Amino acid sequence: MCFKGIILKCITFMKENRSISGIYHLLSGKKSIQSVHDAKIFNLEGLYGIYPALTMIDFLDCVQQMVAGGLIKKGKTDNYYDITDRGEQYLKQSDVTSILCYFNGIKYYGRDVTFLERLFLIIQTLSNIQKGNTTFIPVIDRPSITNWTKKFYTTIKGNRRNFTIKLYEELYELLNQLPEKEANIFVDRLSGYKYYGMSVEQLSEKHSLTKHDVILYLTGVTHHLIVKIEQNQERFTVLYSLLRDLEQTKFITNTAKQTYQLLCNHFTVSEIASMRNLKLNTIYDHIVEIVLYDKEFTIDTFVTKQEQAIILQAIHKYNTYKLKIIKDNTTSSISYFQIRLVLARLEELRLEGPHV
Amino acid sequence: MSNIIHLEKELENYFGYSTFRVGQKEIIEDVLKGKDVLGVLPTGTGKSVCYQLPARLLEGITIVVSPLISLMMDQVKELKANHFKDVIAINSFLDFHSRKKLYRSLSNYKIIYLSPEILQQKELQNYLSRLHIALFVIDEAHCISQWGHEFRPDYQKLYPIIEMLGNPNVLALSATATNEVQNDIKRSLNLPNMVKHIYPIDRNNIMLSVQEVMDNEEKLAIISCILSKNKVPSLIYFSSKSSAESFTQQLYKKLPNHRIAYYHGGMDPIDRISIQQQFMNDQIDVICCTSAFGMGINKNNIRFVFHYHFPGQIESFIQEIGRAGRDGEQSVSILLYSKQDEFLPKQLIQSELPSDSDLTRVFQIVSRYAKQQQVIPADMVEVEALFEISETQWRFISSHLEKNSVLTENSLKYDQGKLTETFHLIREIRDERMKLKQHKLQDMISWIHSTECLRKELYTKFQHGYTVLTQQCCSNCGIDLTDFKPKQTVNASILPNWEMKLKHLFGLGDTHETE
Repeated sequence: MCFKGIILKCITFMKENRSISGIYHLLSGKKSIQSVHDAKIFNLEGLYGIYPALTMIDFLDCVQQMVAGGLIKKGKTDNYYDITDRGEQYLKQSDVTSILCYFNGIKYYGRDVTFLERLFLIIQTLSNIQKGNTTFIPVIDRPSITNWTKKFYTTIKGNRRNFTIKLYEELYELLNQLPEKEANIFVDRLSGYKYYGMSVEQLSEKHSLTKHDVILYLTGVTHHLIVKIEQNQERFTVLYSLLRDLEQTKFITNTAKQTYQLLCNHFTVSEIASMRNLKLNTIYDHIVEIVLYDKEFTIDTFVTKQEQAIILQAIHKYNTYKLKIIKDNTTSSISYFQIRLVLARLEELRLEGPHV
Repeated sequence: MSNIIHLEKELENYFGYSTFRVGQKEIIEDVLKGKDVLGVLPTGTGKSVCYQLPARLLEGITIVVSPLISLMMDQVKELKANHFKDVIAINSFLDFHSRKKLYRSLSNYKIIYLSPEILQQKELQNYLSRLHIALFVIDEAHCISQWGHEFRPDYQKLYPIIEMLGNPNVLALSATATNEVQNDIKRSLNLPNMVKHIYPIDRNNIMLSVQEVMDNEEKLAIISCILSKNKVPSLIYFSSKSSAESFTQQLYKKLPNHRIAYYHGGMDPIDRISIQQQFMNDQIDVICCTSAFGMGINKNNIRFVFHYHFPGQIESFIQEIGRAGRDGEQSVSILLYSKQDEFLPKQLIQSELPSDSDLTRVFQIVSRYAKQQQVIPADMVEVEALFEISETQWRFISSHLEKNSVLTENSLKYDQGKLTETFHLIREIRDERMKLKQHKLQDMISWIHSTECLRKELYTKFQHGYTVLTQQCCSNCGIDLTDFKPKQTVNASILPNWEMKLKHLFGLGDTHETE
């Protein structure tokens, strides 16, 4: 329900601008500039990277089921799909379920898993220690999480009893605001003293959900918790302490950062390319990345206001975000690079006012 | 005599057991006396104590070579849960910096687990050679021998490393090693005077049953019928992930009161840990699994081991049924066999070794790379894409290229004559291995069809005698499952809502704190 609703939402927002694999890359959080860019221009930032473990096979399998179920139909070109009336109905129904509005993918990407795994492990630890048991097999075995939790535990050890009660109270308060089903799924996943939480498969069986939906429910609830915790840091002090040191994933690669430094020192694109021994196109990719990352960075040096207007006009006229269509319908002097820059700044440019 | 008392005390002190299990003490005594030891102990009798206790008592570091990363991780986890903090498993997943950091701190550890492949790394060898290695342990030592059922080429390269480390004492351990394999181990390690401790591998508390069925429907009917009368810890082995998954679904419907789950290598780590530990905690009754399950699992009250599909060799079968009844109580192995099942292991054998066309293709690419002085990619995914073969197949080919000095650490030597000759050799060896594997499969199949005592037929290949049982022996001698009355598992009560569950997890509310 939830997974299919999400795919339908993506199809509706992206229309015929992107093939079905564009949706896959968006949901699985491909760290390419294209996917981050897509999330932005199609207003789907909340859904970026909410399902990193999704495989292409499972995704296409679900798409096939949706075609068979009459929710979507094949578009004019291969690998493109349109939503059907029945699909619209379905989307309306699933859009009202709360899970879909919880997602805040681009903001919490990476942090969500770390927070959740820390929480699982700290609850398991406290539960065991509360019962006087100091040896157990940790349910999370990623060294980055186990090491952090060990260190963290030493800081609360002296105050353990109060910390335990406070953590319980905070979690109870937050979960109590959720629909029963969501709270049930979340708590069923937790492990403690002589007790291990349910696997995705077990949760799916118990709550009559597909495995995809179980995974998305867990992620959605996690995003919702993080929002609430961040909004009320003073109230949820204990939960916030599991989050505090986590920074938002920066969608800028190290190599783009180096280009950024050089641009700030007023080197030209071709100078940077030869200095760094990279192709021009690579530097262009870096610049698009920078534009997405740094809202203050001006694109006017690479594409004049006049050129921006021409590109915006083509986007408007053909109602498309497809690079090729835009390129074919603008002056030949305008490059793909320039089009990508305008797309990266689309929202701001539209607000800026009437170019068209 | 004082030495013996001392050892038992140490065992109690470090592991909390008051007595040794069969063979453990004899092996440990010889290890502590500084002898090189070859130990063959049945599965489930605590092989790991044979080196974990000496590791505590000896001055210096104990290195353990183990074939599977998951196995190593399980051991380390278990040791850490028992307050042995100074153990580590080195695997190839570490990035450059963490690896460097780890290598520099190796002297802080008492037990270091390693894969045979990573042991070939020059950098690691340099670091290890500066340490004082007290004991060099080879776990699953049958992997050394190509007659063993899990031959691993890198296991044959251990001798030069042992020498480089200053010839520490060697302890080779296995659960299944025929005489032939034992001799191979001694030869490959260049240790003709190894002290052998061989213990019978037959387990007389496991009754053996083989049943021929028409089809998978009948397998489901038999398994669900037996389990409906018995709610006890049980394993069901499958040869593929998908069949384990789909059977789980079918069994749910037949046994609504049983707690059933599947387990295979394709699951997320958190789910793998959860399922394993739920089974340990009796939160799950039945696990449908592939051979990936069970390695390093120490549950002592497994009562049934079913084989929905039979494995490709008797050695694996013995290992898998050996997970039953580790507490010594009566347990049952049931193998369900239908004619179609023979096809699966045959296919598996073919996919493990390179075919003629695979070899031709690899030969052409390797020749071109050698001529152009290109290196073979280090990343397995790239290798698979380049040659269009599996990791197992490449491991087989590359080990022989290395052995014949055509390949050294990803670099090829350009010598077309030598290359052609080596590939001819590889083809011959491939044929030989294929024959061996088919032979082993044939052995397994003939055992299934045997009309003699199944226990005798199963174990006399590996040892001289076997324990003759007058009752509950095997389906050919006659067994009666109605007499089998194992202790039934009682489900722990499930709290009705999340509020109560959360409270309980935090140890708050009506439950009393024990502190």
